[in-house]
Amino acid sequence: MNRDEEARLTEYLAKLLADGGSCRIVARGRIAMGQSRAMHRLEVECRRPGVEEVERYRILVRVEQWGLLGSDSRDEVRVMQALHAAGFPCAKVYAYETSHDILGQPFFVMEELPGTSGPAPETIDDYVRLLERLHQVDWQAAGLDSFLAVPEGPRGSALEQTERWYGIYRWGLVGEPSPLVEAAHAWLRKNAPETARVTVVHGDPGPGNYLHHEGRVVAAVDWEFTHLGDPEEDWAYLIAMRGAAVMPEEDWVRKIRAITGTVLDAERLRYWKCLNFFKGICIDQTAMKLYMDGTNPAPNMLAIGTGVHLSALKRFCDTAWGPPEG
Amino acid sequence: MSLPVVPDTETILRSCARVLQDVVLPGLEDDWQRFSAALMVGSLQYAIGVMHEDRGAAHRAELATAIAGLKGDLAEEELGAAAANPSPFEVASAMLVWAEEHPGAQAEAVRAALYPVLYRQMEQEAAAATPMMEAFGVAMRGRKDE
Repeated sequence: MNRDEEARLTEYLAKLLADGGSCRIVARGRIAMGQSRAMHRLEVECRRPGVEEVERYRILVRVEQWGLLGSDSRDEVRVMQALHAAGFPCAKVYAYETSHDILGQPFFVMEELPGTSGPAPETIDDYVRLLERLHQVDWQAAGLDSFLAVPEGPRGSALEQTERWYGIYRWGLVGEPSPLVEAAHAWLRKNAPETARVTVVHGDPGPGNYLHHEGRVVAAVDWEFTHLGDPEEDWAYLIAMRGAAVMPEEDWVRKIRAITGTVLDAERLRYWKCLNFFKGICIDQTAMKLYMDGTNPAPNMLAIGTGVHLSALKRFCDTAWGPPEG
Repeated sequence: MSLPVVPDTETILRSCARVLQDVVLPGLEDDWQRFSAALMVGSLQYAIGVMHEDRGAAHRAELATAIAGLKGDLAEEELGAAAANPSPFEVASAMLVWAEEHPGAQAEAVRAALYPVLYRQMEQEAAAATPMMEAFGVAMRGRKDE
């Protein structure tokens, strides 16, 4: 955030938090982890008009990055607001700014909750319960189906996600397609399983995407990929992506069954792991586009568009087809 | 007079990477700035690798050879317009999608010819990106909130 942007943001925060009084940013920093949004942590002191007392806020400003990773803030904000209103633990959103006038991209302002997202093995069971709780949310009562698509047909959850991410991949394509990605798309369409139950799906669950404090889970974070679909998609993501370094797959499967009663079938799990790898492949492609067309020269774009993308592709290949013989 | 010896690109890039690594990075305290500088070191090393070898051209030629060996087996009637596409990546895409959608001996032949080539190229490119991935991995093991 440059000085002009910070000045405009300060003015914006004064309207938002101090009824048009004044605000002062007293501490600032950009969080390096998390790539899809620029995340600025701010400490702000505000004075309302005619009031001497200073109010202090710790907030996060989450700024879009020209479509990086294939999501925008609109649904993310609406999901957070709906879940917060339904009593699910997630941060409160103070405001969503859709214009490009202040920070050059749409952004939203949310409260900073206490806790950290660093590794904490003692919180894993608690987190599994939280994810199961998310899958039990009555999404119709919470109004989520008023803006999230409800999958159609028995294979809709898998097929709609496949097409969503493939569309993002094609948007991000620079030059010719990757034959392995095209084959992966065909494989996912051909093997799409039926879904027994449609739930809220977080889309990026696991360690690093929940906050914990004093050994207890405080909230889930990062709602940009949340949609309605098959909860097995989330379990597969937890097991194969964010949770892969925590414990082996078979231990995860046992733990999830013990805590939630969910029995994960190996073949279906394989499919959902592949879909999650495919999602990674496709969203990473957007970084290549933004880097190559000069929209975003940050070096993490190059890393995501090459190494991270290829890592996901290799995992897809190994899981769907296995390494080549010989 | 002009310089008798113009510094070569690789020396300049390597020097930039060293100075970033040894001088700039240790002085940075902000998380995002450190992350970006570490990735820039990796990016420069990646760029030097690209400079040494035109891997894109080598991949293209290798794939074209693999496709040429299959053309008799998989005719235009299966691939449609894609068969005439000058890009081996486009043709290989069409062939592999066809193979996914039409299981059988012919599909197996396509996969057997193309998959090992593409898999090897993928691994080669992943290895080339290792310097950036190491810096990226360090940041991703960091925390969002500390």
